[in-house]
Amino acid sequence: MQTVLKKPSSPTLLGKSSTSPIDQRKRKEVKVHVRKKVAIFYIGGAGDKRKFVPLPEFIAGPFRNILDAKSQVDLRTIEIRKKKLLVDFWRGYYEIFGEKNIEKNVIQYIPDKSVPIIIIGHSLGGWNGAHLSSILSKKGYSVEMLVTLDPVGQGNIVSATSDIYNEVPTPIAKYWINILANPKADNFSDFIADFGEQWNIKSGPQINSTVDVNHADAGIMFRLPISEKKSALDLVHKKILELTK
Amino acid sequence: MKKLTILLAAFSLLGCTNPPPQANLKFTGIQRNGNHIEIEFSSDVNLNTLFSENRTQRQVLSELICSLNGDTNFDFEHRLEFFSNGRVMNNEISSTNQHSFKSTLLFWRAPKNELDSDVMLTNEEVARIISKQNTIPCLYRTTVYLARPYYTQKMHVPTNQLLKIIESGTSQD
Repeated sequence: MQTVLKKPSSPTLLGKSSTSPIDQRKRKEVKVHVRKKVAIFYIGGAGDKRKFVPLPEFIAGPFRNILDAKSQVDLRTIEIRKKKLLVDFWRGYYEIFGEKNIEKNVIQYIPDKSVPIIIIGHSLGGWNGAHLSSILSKKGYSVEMLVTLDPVGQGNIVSATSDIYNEVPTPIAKYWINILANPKADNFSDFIADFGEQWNIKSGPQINSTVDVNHADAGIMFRLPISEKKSALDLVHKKILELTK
Repeated sequence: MKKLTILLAAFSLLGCTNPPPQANLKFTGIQRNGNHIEIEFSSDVNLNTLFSENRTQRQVLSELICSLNGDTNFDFEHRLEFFSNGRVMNNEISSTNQHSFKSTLLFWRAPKNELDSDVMLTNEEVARIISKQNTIPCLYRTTVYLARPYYTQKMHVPTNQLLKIIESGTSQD
């Protein structure tokens, strides 16, 4: 919440000021709340926004995993959207890799540095999204929240062949939620996550949770309770409400 | 190596896997729930278990999507300019042959620059766009690993009913 001081306009009649002593008293400074617009970046992983390898779509996607998380936020933010206090963007992990891409695909879409930013990334999008949080923060942007949904990227082969950063991320965000997928029954997507190697985070996030969900199911990870019966969706929604109050 | 073997086995099995039947959808109603517009429909195939009864994959992104301006290309790769979409939830099962679902619809305009944020349409904008049509086409679609994207047959939602619901409330305004 930003507070600015603004003087009320004084009424005039035929170009003459009609300020009486009473009017002048009324012209005391009043507080006006300026609501902030929030920007959310949804960062998809391999096979989310585009195919991850040049193979048929049933193997390589795109599967649009992160949009399942977005659709849940959309449902809860109708009122905020209609007040034009929220903008969101869907990006592939490759679209936020490197300075030029970040400038072209991220920074260009943030109105100014005071705009609070929420980054929600899945798989390789969680890995690059975590890097994005530190890059933006170091540039002076306000990364309010980072949500990493089963981030992947520690594997040497994936690192060498994909547009992801080699280094393990050191996120900079005011609040970081990490969710690790550890399903009792693996499916195909978990093999892919194994190939890319899950990012095994020991410390850093305010919430670091493990859920019995397959790697592909970003939307389910996002809505399952992870802390005090609250889901990442609940916490993101709460943060959006706080920021746009 | 073991995982690679399993992967190759999975790929080889794909050739033996038939896609689920293309469901027929039927519009059954529309209602307002607070500031949400809920559409109800039935399907002759259970949309929640398309790939999980005899397959092991869970659907990734599942949505009901409607075209508002007459564009009937619902391919995932095609961007509809004016559209409505919503997550699909189970309703009560109405009979053994028909499965009942509902979806909360949101109404959008996709900007020309695909990197831009979709813009939520106002009630007036939605009414203006759909008013010249008797019905708008909608279908259910989903993505799933190890299968091609799935699309049902189209169903047709009567515009007059949708307009009535839109005009009855303040949703999205």
